[in-house]
Amino acid sequence: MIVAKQKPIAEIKEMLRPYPKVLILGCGTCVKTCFAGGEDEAATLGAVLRLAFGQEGKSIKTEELTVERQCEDAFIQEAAQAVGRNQAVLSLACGAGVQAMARRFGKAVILPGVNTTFMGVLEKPGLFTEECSGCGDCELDTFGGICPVTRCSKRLMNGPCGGSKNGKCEISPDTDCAWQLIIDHMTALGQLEDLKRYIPAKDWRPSLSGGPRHLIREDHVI
Amino acid sequence: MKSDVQSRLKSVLTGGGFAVTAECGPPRGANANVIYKKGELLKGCVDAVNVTDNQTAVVRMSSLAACLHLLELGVEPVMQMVTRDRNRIALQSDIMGAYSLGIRNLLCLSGDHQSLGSQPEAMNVFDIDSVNLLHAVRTMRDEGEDMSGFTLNDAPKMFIGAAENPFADPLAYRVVRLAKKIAAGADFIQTQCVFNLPRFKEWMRMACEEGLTEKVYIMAGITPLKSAKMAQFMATKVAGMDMPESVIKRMSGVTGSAAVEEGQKIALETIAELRIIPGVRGIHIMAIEAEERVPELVRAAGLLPRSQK
Amino acid sequence: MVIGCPSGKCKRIDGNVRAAKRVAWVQKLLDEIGLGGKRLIYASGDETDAVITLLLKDLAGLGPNPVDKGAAKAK
Repeated sequence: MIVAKQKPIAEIKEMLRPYPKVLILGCGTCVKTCFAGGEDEAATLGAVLRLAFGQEGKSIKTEELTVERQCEDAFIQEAAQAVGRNQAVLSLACGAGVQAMARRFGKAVILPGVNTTFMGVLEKPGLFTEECSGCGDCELDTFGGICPVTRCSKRLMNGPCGGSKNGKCEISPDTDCAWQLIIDHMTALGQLEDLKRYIPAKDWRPSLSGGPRHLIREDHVI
Repeated sequence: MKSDVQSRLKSVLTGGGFAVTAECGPPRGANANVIYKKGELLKGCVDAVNVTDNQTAVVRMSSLAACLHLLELGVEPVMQMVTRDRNRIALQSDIMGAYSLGIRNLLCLSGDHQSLGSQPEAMNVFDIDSVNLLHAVRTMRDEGEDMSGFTLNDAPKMFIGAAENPFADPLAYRVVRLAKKIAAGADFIQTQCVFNLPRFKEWMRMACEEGLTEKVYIMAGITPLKSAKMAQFMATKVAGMDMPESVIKRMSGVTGSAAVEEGQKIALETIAELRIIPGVRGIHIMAIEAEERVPELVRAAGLLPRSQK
Repeated sequence: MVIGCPSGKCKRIDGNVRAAKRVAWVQKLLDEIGLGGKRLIYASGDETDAVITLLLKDLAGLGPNPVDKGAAKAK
């Protein structure tokens, strides 16, 4: 899923200051799963903002609505009337959803309520970890299912580096050394020999480095 | 003629000699006098001087420029290059430029992560890793081609080095990584500074067993300590450092100039042990901001004079 | 004040544990906006007396609801 974290209230307050009537639009997919922007979070945020502005003697009118996903037009359309009757939209969707909203409702003010961070998984209750950076040319078969592009802080193809200590990365004791994980896992699979070969420099063209990407499925274009 | 310049470090090692190199950190500014001073101190007591590349991700004068200043003094540089800050385009470009200026030795590294440095807000590059860089430099030298297969107008014929850390984890894999670097193009290896001799000997033993010491010149790292505080700092704050309790204890027993002397003693004892380990072909002295200690250390270790050829 | 079942007595196994964590989360939010997390408290069913005493003590030091004060100022 895409993982995001709600922006600090102080930052959201400043964004909303010019708008006394705001639609808080939640998204029921990724951001709901990581507790940043689903229906519950939209409701909580509305209450918190009313309290926060109330302390200054300002009142803000918030309307809360959540759609299934903000990255698909068919779902965004459902919010059209709500968007129309408010002065600004605080979208709690990931960056893609915010932009889809801006595209769809060209005359509306669409503001981002969360900081979108990474593509990841729920490793255990309450812990989301970054797993994939969308390099466009997946080599997980080479690395025993652990991605060095994303999880090695230096993106090494032929790791580890000299800073790996006790299975942790030099940048933080909370960060696992991906190469330690790769070596351990491939040893367990009996495939350590495969890591002895030279892995060439990565071709970054399929990644964001090659420019913003798009995907066309001719079989679905009508 | 610049192209006539040969690598003295290479001559010493291929000639069967025990090589000595030291390290020189460029200034955090444009002051070339810092390099001149360090260069004068080291001239004549080492075979070559490594110039670090924005080491510990702290912004400093470029390695390329500092190497050129050393050349002006008649000191042979080893240009260090990290892959953290430059992509393959810039790296290959700088290598060609460096060779054209008379630089003959190159050390290929990944580099410390920028989050630990002086400008952690910077984006990192890591387009290629140090092993890819070794491969690229070797290809430039031996095939005369860049990474796209383009035939170069004068190939940079560098003497190629890499760093290895016998003290980082995982221990067993460290020898695999050494083998990979050699296969990719490393002619010589400089290791992280040695305080834990038993662990270092074990790593050398494994390297010998794999036949790697026949294929590469290994130079062991040495750092003379100056205080217990320094020993403690290295033990806890420097990535990939292995500082045994016994060494910290020895340094804790003394202060001031006595501590500096003790640090020197430890370094000399270590050098003496290193010289008799099969496969160790030299030492690399990393006297961080204490380059003035190097001449005395080399002399006391019985490693002077250095050949001037 | 939010009161949950005594420890180990939750019919849903850990509902009371989750409730305590959610209250802590809201306390953080209230602190973040300057309202004061101490206005909200979680008590386990078997500690209610002690917690009520604590709550009254904390509330005494906090003063009237800043939101009411703010609304009055605006008028």
